[in-house]
Amino acid sequence: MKRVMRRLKHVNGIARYSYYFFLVVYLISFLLFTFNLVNLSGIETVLRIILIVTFFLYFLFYLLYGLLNLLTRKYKKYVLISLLTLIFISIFNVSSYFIGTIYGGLNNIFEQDKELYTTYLIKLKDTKFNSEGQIGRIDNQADTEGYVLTEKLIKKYKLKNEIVDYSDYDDMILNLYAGKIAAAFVPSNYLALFTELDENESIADKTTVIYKYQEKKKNSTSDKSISNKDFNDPLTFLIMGVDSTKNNLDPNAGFNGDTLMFIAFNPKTLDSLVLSIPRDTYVPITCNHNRYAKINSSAAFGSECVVNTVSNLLATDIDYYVKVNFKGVVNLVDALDGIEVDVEAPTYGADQYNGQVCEQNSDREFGDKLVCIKPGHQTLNGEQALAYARNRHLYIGSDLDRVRHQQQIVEAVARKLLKFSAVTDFKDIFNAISNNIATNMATDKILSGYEVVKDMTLKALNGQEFININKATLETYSLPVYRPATGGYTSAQGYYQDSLTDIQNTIKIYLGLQEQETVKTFSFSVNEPFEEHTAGKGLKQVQSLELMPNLIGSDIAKAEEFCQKHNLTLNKEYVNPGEAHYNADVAPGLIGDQDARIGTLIEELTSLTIYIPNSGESSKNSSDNTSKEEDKTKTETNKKDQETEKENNPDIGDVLNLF
Amino acid sequence: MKRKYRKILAGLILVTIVLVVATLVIRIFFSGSKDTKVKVLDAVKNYDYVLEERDTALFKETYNHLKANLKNKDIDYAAYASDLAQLFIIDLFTIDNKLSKYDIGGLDYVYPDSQDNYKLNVENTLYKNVEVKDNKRNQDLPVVTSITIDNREDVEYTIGEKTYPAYKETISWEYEKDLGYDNKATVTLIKDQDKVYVVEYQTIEE
Repeated sequence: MKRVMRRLKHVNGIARYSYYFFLVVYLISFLLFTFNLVNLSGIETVLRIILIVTFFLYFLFYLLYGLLNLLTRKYKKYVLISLLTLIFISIFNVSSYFIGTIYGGLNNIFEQDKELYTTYLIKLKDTKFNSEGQIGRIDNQADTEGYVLTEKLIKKYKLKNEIVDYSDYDDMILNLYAGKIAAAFVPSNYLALFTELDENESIADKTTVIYKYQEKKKNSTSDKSISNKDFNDPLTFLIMGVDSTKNNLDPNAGFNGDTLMFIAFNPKTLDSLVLSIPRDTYVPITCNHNRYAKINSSAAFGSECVVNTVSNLLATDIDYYVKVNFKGVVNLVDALDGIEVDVEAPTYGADQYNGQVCEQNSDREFGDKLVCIKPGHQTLNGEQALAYARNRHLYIGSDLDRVRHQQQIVEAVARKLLKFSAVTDFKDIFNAISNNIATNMATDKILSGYEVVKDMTLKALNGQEFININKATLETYSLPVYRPATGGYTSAQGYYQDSLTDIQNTIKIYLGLQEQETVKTFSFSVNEPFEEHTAGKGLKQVQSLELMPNLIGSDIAKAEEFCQKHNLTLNKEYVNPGEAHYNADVAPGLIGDQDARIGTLIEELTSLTIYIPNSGESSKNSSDNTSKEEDKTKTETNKKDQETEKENNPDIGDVLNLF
Repeated sequence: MKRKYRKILAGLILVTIVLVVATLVIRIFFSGSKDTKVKVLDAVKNYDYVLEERDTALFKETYNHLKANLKNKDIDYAAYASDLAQLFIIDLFTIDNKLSKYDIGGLDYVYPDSQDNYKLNVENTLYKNVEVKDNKRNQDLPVVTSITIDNREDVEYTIGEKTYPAYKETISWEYEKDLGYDNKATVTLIKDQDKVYVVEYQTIEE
């Protein structure tokens, strides 16, 4: 060794130092390259091992052969081999850059362990806030932003105000608008959540922040470890739309739960089932004591609540969620050079824009910035795709039509995504994706999808079917629910139970949890085109929820039958003229009034009190228990009745006119 | 001389290493999808009917009979329809040789305007549970081993506003192993210009 070193000292200085330089640089580049390759776990493992071993062997080869050439003064050979080494160094650095970009991008979309939680105390603009006013708050102690942080805010600012508990954010905000409370605690995404409560003015314009409290806490959803599955098993995802005008997705960005898309994907068969859940679907909100509310309101309680609520509805575990920034749709579609979509013609107010579909642009601008699309099959650019996915006002089905259009966009993007080829295309697409989505799927789990994507890409390039996207449709019906807290009605959507059951069973088949029956018979006719079965579609036999009907003017037997059917305690009170609940318009002996308002959710009732007008005799009060128990005591009619419940019973015509 | 041979040898070794690595890279990284392409052995000119390596002996026999007929100047269209109906049944119901649920049998014989819908139909019914054909496929899938024309009728068939001369074939067939699949049906075929197409299939329950 000493001899070699001595002889090396006699070698040309430039050659000697360049030799040292290339050795060091090659080693560092190789180690960096190896590190990046190792990070790509599950991807072409054999190939990665071959590359690492081969380049390590080359390192040894250069070390010895280069040295030999230097010692024997064969500078020409030394230069040639050094050039080759330089090429390899470049390959390492370029590869490391691309691999690092991909890995970094994937890491970027993984939602961080710690999240910034914020609670705001807001009031109406042009109103005064002092210690006399009542503050509304959600009575859910598990809600970080809606409750936990509010306690800290109260303590910090030494607030002495009376706290009024609410079970529903919408009710609380509407009461704030009505002046029934002076202020309200709202979560960080309130601007997105409550923007449509008042059609004329957004919450941002109506209210102002009095105080704010922030705290970095462990992300409750990332800790939950929703799933340990990767792309070797059937998976379920929940896509949640974030309506932001920014180009990037802020990890703490609020989402309003307007877009909820459930996807079941089987990597073995490449079958996927896509279900868009209408935002007004009335369901139990799991993190709010299973109180019924529109499903999009679960977003007020955070991602975990949305995931659990949807999981409960579909009776299936949701492995991962994905938040998608709508603005990112614009970037992604443009990076794909547009997508092919068959745009549906407007079915409501078509004349408004001469038969076109028009919507504000991605920056929420109207006027000359309006994005308009003609109906028909065409290539949509990013702004057009987003406009089509957002629009609901020009369609009779409103949100129901909108979710169908969103599914069209998703399908079109998926098909186009697998046809890209150029490296530059890939970079733009990757940036569009990684900057605008967030998920709780860890990077190594995402990488496990490599084999699936490779298989799909090769199939796509060979012109074969590479993915089978099937849609499911949850059939819904109009459900105008009476809200005691506000004394008004909210237009919700009830779902048909048989439709939901069909969807639940189909999901199980996709996930391999239920055997799919093999069809062994066939029929075909060119004059009777085959229609693909859409899970849930057309099944409208059993309504999931019922509302309190109008029993006024009916006989008592009808009330008895109703209560027996719904297992409610029936209380009868006979009232005289001049007494409360006496109805002179109804004949004696018939039902003159009822305590449960028309439109109240029957699930929220345990009893019903009917008021029967006497003909003028002394009042008789009797309770008649139609349930199996013989409890004669009057029970509270509505668990969620607020103190401000109105006495007047709204006319059913007024209710129907709202919708 | 020795130095020259050493150089040649070194060059050969280097080239060999590069080739081996490149082959490995291509095979591993760019290996084809699990569905492999099927080799075509023969084709009937002008008719797009093909005979593939994977086709059964029964299919080959029927195909050859059809091909012989189509080579004639005066084509016997009744025989053409019968052979085509049989090929349709054999190809549709021999599912064992299919590469995946998307590898649809009988597609080439179906009326062109309805091929997409036919494909959708088969993918979602008969072939719905067919797995990708690889070493792991362990399914019991049917193979048609014999087929008979029970009855033949000359009829007319209307599609839209156009009426075509047609043939209604009543066919029965058997499988290598009876797995409960259809074994009797009527197949209706139309003659459109000089080609015959399958337009209807209705099973006959026993």
